[in-house]
Amino acid sequence: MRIVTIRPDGNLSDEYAGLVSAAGAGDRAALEGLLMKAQAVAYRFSRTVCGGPTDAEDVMQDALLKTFRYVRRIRDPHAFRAWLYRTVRNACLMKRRRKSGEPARVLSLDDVLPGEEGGIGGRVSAGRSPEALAANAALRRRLSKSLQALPPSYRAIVFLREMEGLSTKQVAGILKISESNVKMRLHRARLFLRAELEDR
Amino acid sequence: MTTTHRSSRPPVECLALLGELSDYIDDELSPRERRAIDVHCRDCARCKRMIAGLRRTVSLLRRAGSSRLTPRALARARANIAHLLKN
Repeated sequence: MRIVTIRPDGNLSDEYAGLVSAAGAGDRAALEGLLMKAQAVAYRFSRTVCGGPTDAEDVMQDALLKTFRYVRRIRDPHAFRAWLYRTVRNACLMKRRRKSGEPARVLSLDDVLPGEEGGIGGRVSAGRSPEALAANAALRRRLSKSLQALPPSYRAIVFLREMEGLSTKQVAGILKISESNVKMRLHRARLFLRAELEDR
Repeated sequence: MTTTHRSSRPPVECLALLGELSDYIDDELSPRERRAIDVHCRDCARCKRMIAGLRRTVSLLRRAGSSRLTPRALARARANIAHLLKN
């Protein structure tokens, strides 16, 4: 028998919880939406924190299958999002351990972002002249390189806090470290990235 | 008069505030702590630039995070779902 618990505090509650509940009740569109979101998180996390496109596709596949299984034995829809981040992170860590080292290929945000529209560049500069577009592309490359220069544990915090919009408390819960540790590492990462992007 | 601090090493009072600048831009300081930084920045161009730079960096990261999947990854994700639900 399926047990669904809805937590009133809404911790990490979001559109994921609604999809998990609906998918668990047999809504196929919700299931497909959830599986798509899970793969998108896996892809972004893997490309930003771990490395190359092949790994990212493997991690996507892993997230897909585990999410599918999760929905079938659902207990708490609000716990799904945190569970997903932990699952994706563990899959990335396993990949890295197998390879015993950092990926040789430097992530390009051009691979992660679909282009000027909706990407970093489109909103950094008001102008869209060739010069502005070239400057934006250069900025994307610098951000990519700067992110890769951070230790993986710092990259994971930057990804969850800045790029996924989670709170300090949520990140601490997912990574199983203290909130003060999250804040300290995030601050150092921001200072490092700012210096890389603006002081050179 | 605005202090520009041309030397490479920040003054001690700037270093003392550096650790609080993330909390400042995240609006997680007490009103008193916040006011202390505001007062300092009135006369410190270096810290003002640092705060503006941190804000730009955070903004850039947040925009990067809101991006969608690439067409290739999207096609792969859709194919994965179709394959899984077919079986």
